[in-house]
Amino acid sequence: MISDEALMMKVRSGDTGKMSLLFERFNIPIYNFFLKFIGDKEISQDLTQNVFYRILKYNHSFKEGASFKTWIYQIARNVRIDHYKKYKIYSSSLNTDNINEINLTENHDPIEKSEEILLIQKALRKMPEDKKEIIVLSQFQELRYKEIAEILNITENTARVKVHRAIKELSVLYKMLV
Amino acid sequence: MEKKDFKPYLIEYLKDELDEETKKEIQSKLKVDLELQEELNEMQVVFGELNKVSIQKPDMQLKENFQKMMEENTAQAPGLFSSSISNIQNWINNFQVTISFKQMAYAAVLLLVGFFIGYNQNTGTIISGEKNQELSMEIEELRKNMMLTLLEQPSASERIKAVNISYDLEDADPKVIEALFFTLNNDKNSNVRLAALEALTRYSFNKKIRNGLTESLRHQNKPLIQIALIDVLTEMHDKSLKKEFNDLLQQGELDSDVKEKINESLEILM
Amino acid sequence: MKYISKINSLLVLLMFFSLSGFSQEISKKSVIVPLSKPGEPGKLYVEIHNGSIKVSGHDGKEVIVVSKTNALEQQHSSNSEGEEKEKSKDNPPEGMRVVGNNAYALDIIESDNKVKVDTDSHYSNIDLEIQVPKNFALYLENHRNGNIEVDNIKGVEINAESHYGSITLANVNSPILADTHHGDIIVTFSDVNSENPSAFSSYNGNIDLTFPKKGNATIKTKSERGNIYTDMAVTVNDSDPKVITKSKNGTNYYSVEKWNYGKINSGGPEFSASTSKGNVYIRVQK
Repeated sequence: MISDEALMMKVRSGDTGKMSLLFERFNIPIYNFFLKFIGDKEISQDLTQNVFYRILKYNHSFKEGASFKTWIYQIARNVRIDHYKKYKIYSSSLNTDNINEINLTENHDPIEKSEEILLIQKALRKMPEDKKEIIVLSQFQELRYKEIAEILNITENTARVKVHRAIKELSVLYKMLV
Repeated sequence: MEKKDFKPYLIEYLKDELDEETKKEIQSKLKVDLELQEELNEMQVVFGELNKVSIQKPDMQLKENFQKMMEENTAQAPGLFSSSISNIQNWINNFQVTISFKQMAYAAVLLLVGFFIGYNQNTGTIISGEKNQELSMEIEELRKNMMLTLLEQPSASERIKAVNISYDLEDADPKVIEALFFTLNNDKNSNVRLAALEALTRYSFNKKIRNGLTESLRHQNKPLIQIALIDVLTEMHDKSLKKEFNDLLQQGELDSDVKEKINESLEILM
Repeated sequence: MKYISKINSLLVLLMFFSLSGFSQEISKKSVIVPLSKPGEPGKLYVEIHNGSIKVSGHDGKEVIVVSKTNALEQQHSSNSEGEEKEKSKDNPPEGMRVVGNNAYALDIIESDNKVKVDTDSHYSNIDLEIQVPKNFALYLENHRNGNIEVDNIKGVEINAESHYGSITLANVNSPILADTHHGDIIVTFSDVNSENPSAFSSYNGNIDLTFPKKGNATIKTKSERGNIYTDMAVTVNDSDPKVITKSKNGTNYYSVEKWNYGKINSGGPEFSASTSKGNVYIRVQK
C-alpha cells in the first residue's frame, strides 16, 4: 500500500485524483472524531467534508516529511473549533473551569434515536471539552501518544499523563451514573 | 527505571503497545502492588465500556458530496489534458473509489476497444487516419490510467496485472515510470516488486532509469530483490556500478547470497 | 478499518490475560474468533518472526487460532547463552511463585471479517495453527524461521512470504503469490480459473507446481542454475530464445529473453516461477 504521505505529496504536486484514496482511508475515522464530540450525524458529515475541502485547498501547507495522520487531525481540530466559534459555544479548552453543560450535543438528537446511548457515552458527554478530546483521540482513533502529542503540540509524556487523568475522570463520572 | 509511576502506562499496557522492558516491569509490579492492580481493574472497566461504543459509518451522502467537490475542483484546474481526456480522467478518479469488479469489467471493455481499433488500423478502413490517432492516444491514456489505478489495489495479484499492463504502453511515460519505481521501492509484496523491476528492465538502457535502479538497490532489504536488481544492473555493464557494489559489500548485515552475487558481478564488470 | 479493529482486539486481549494466569503449561493457547459476517468471505493476515504458520480451511463459520511455543527449550537456550541477568530478574519475590513464565503476546484483531494475527515472536518461536472458513483470502508472512503450510483454501488470493522456510500450499485456487529465499515452494492447485496472474520466486529452493487436469494456464519459468522439468501435458514453446531489442537514439541493445514459456491446455492467466539455484517442476494431474 502506498503511504498516506506519498499520496498527499502527489495531491500537492497536482495529482488531485489521489484525494479519493485519502478520503477512503480517513473519512470514517474523521467522521467519528466529530460524531463522538457533537453527536449529530449531519453536522459531523458536514465537518468531515470541510476537512477534506481544506486539505484540497491548503494542500501546499502539507510539509514533506510530516505525518499525514497528524496533519489531518490538526485540521479536524481546527474545523471543530471554528464550528464551535460559529455557534458561539466555547469549547472548554478556552474555558477549562466550566463543565460544558450547554453543548450542541444536548440540543440535537444524539447519534441515532434507534441506538441506545451507553452510559459511558453519557459520562463522556459530561467531560470538559479538552479531556473529552483527548479520550476521543486516544480511544476511538487508534492514535499513539506520539501522534496525540504532535496533534496537541505537547510532549509525549504529557499526552500519556493527560490521557490517564482523563480516563480516571471518565471512570469517576461513569461510576456516578451506574 | 527506579521509582517510576506506572499508572499512566497502564493504558498502553492494556493495548499491548509497550516495549518489552516496560511491559515486564509492569507485569512484575502488578504481582506485588495492590494499588496498581486496582487501577488496572478500573481502567479495564472503562475500556470495556468504551469498546462497546460503536464506530459509525457516514451516509453515502458524504461520499457523493466529496466526489462533487472533486469534480468541481478538477474542472477549475488548468488543463493538463484536453477537455475530453480530463473527463475521462474524472471518470477514472471516480473509479478509484469503487470496487475492483467494476475495474475488471472496465479492463475487459478497454481490451475490446483496443482490439477493435487495432483491427481497424490493420484494415485501414472506417476511421480516418487523424481521428484514429487521436483515439489511440486516448486509449493509451486510458491504459496508463488504468495501470496507475490498478496499482493501488489491495490485491497483490491485481497489482502484478497492473505492472503487466505497462508492457502494452508504447511510450515510457514519466508517470508510468514513476509508478513502477514507486512499486519497486514500496510495494509490500516481493513478487509485485520483482514484476515492477522486470518491467523497468526494458528501459534500463536509459541512464536515468539505471540511476533509479541503483538508488533502489540501497532501499531494498530482501535478498531476493537485491539479487535481481544486481543482475539487471550488471547486465548493463555500467562501470560506475563497481563503486556502488563495493559500498554495498561494506554493509554489515548483507545476506551471504547477495555477497556472492556482488562478487560475481564485480568479476563481470572488471 | 484499523481503528475499529483495535477496539475489538482489546476484548480478545483481555481474554488472554485472564487465560495466562491459570496453569503452568500455558505453552498452548487456543482462541475462537467469531466473525462479524459469518459465512461471508474474509481475509486472514498473519505476520510472525520465528515460527511456522499452518492454515487450513474448515466448514465452520469462525476462525480458530492455536498457538504453541516451546517455553522450556527457550529458557534452556537463553541460560546456556549465559544470560544470567535475565535469570535473576525472573526470580520470584519472597513468598511468591511463578504461575506464568512464558507470557507472549498474541494479538488477534477481527473487523469486518478481516482477521489479523500478530505475535511478538522476535525472541521466541511461536507456531501457529489456524483454521479459517474456506472462502478466506490469506496474507501470510514469516520473516525468519519456520515453514508456511496451507490446505484447502478457496479464497480470492493467497500471498505467502518466507525467508528460511518452505511454502507448501495444497488444494488451493489461483491467484497465488509466494516467495521464499531458502525454501521450496510446492503448490497443488485445485482450480486455476481466476484471470489474475500468479507468481512464485525462490533463490535456493525448488518450485514445484501441480495443475488440475482441466486448467488453462500460461507458464513462464526461469532457473539460472537449476533445471526446468515439465510433464508431457505441458506444451513447451521451444522455439529459439527471444532476443529483445531495446533501442534508443539509434543505438540498439540486445538481450536474450531468459524466460521459458509453455502452456497447459489452451493457455490462460500467467503463472511465473523463478528460482536461481533450485529446479522448477510443472506437473499436471493425471
